[in-house]
Amino acid sequence: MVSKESTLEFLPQKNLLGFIKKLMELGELYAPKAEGPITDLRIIHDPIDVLVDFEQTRQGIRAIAEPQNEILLTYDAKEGFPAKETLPATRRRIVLWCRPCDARALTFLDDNFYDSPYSDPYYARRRENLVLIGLGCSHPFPYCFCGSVGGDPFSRENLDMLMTQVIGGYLLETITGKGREISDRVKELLRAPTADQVTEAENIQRNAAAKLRRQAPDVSGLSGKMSSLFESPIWRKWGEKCIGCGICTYLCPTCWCFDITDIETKGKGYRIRSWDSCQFPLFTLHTSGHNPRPDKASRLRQRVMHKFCYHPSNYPGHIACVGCGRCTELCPMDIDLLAILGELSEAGGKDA
Amino acid sequence: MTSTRLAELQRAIRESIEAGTLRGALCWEQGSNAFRSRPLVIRTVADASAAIFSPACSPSLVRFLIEDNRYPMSPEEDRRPLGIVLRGCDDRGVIELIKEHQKRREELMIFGVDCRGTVDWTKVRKLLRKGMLSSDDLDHGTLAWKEDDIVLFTADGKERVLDRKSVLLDKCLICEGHTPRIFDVMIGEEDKNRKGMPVIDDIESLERKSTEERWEFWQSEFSRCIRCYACRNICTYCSCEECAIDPRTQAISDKSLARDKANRPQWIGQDSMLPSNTFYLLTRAYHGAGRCTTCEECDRTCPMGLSLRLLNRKVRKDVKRLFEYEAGRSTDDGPLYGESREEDPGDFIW
Repeated sequence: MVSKESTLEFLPQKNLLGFIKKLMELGELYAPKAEGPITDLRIIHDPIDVLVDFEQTRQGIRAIAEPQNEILLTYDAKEGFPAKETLPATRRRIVLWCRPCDARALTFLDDNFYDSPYSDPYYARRRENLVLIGLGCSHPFPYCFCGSVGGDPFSRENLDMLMTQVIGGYLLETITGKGREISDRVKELLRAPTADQVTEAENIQRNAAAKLRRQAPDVSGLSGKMSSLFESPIWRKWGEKCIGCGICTYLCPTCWCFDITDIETKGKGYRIRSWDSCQFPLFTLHTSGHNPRPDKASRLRQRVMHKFCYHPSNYPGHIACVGCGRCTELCPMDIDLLAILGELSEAGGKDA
Repeated sequence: MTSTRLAELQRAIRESIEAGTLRGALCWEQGSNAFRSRPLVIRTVADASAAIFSPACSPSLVRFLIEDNRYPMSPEEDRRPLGIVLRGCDDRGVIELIKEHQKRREELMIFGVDCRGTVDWTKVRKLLRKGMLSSDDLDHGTLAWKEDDIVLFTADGKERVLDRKSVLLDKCLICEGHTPRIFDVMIGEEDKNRKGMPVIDDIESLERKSTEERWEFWQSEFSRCIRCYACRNICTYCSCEECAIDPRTQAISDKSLARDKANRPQWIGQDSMLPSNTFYLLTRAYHGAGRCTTCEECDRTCPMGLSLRLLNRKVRKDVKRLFEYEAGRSTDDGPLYGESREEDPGDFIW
């Protein structure tokens, strides 16, 4: 399970607070924090705000890597409109205890914003300064299905460090150079792990995937067949249960659509990039009044198709879903992505 | 609901579909686990067998009457009534929609059902976390009512009564009546002891706070909003085709000309920063004055856990105090904004 380049250390529970304090010195720290009745990844100003035993964070890392509201430039009319670019600061941002699925999601944001001919300087700067310290999922959440979309509750993808909760503390696996920079600075808080601790962590890691309650059908087989299902009655059936809100797309860790608007008050203005959603009618409305996606069925189809058909056809092998389950669990009408995929799979099988 | 009651509901819907008197009927089907359900549009006799009615039926179906106006569920020439299954708390929303001419009473065929409370998924999540419910219960359990008890039939054939407080939506704990006041067919017995609108006093502690404290509380709530518009899209009073406070859908209708869309002012930014969120959420709350029936679907739906019901309960309380009007109470009065009386207070205007 543990790759050769990575190193293993043990962080005793009693050193956790010191570890968090140290991370706050090393950069801007984001960690699971109580926000009213929910838990979310937020900036930590006080180490005791970090939740040790926490629910799935409501949003993934997207909100940190590509914030919902990003001011791209500012201007002042009095100064003759010289626009000032407002690139994010280059300081290190550390995300403590993101989940492996949310870290995997960055692969698909990178496809679009970073590893692409149109690398986005705002995203790139945030991305390059991001250090991800994951916490493996010993106990996956009820709607998780990472195991059947190419992930794992202990996936290392995009993580700089991975923690596994064991008796008395955490086994800390340092995966990348960025992670090494952190672990070198917290050395005094770490111990050499015992053989028992390593075995315990390996067992936890090996058994986690079996605890996933839900599984997607064979998605890589499905993505090739999906374009033939464009006119399937499945879309209408599920579309009419939809209320057209943006929950599924705004909480999706791999969604990235945005819109750009200018706002000006008393001669001072800014250009802002804010998230947009394919579930909103205006998203595709033409100036002529024609809307190529005029109803909820076509908009729901777009969301599913983009993840499982269009994205993998643009980036082979990249199915843009990490199996976090948020879209289904938080859907007000219980529109179940896996049930839709199951029906598509069945319909696609019949046609073949 | 006992299995005989469910069979009765399915039979009633099936018979109407078979007789061709309905163009469709709105009910629930089992959702992604034992504690969840989703809307089901019944068009054929076969569809009716998937219908359920159980404590898992938390979503209100009333919103789909507005959805039907916007995205018709059947061809426009089909003028037959639409069937809808209504619980005791749902009739308020339908009454307001009728008063606002969103639907005519005769366009609806209402199947009244006896509801003894439905599940709050966030509470179920807490029980799962504490180990008081298991994955097996989600996958293989079945929920039912036995009088006022919420019963879970577990995979191993056992019956377990769940504590109402720890599993039901808060609104169900102050239920005003199990069956709707307006219906065409009643499945089971009509609740003759409807208590009238529930008295809600949980806003009093907020009212006692200073203006600064309240402002701080609401700013902290509003700052979490991600502007997914779920609260508006689930709402039974948000029937506007184009929403003036949502820059993303203000051009929803293909009836508006490109020129209109281009020249329409954006009253509010589409960002989710605090000033825009405050504007959005407060304007929506005021727009709901005398129209919000406190069905609390916005509260159930909000993914960021905003206390939207406090806002709506406060507005409702003020409307009742000032105008003695309660949305959804009766078909004989209102709507609030459609009536003017000499004794209406006016001092707050100046």
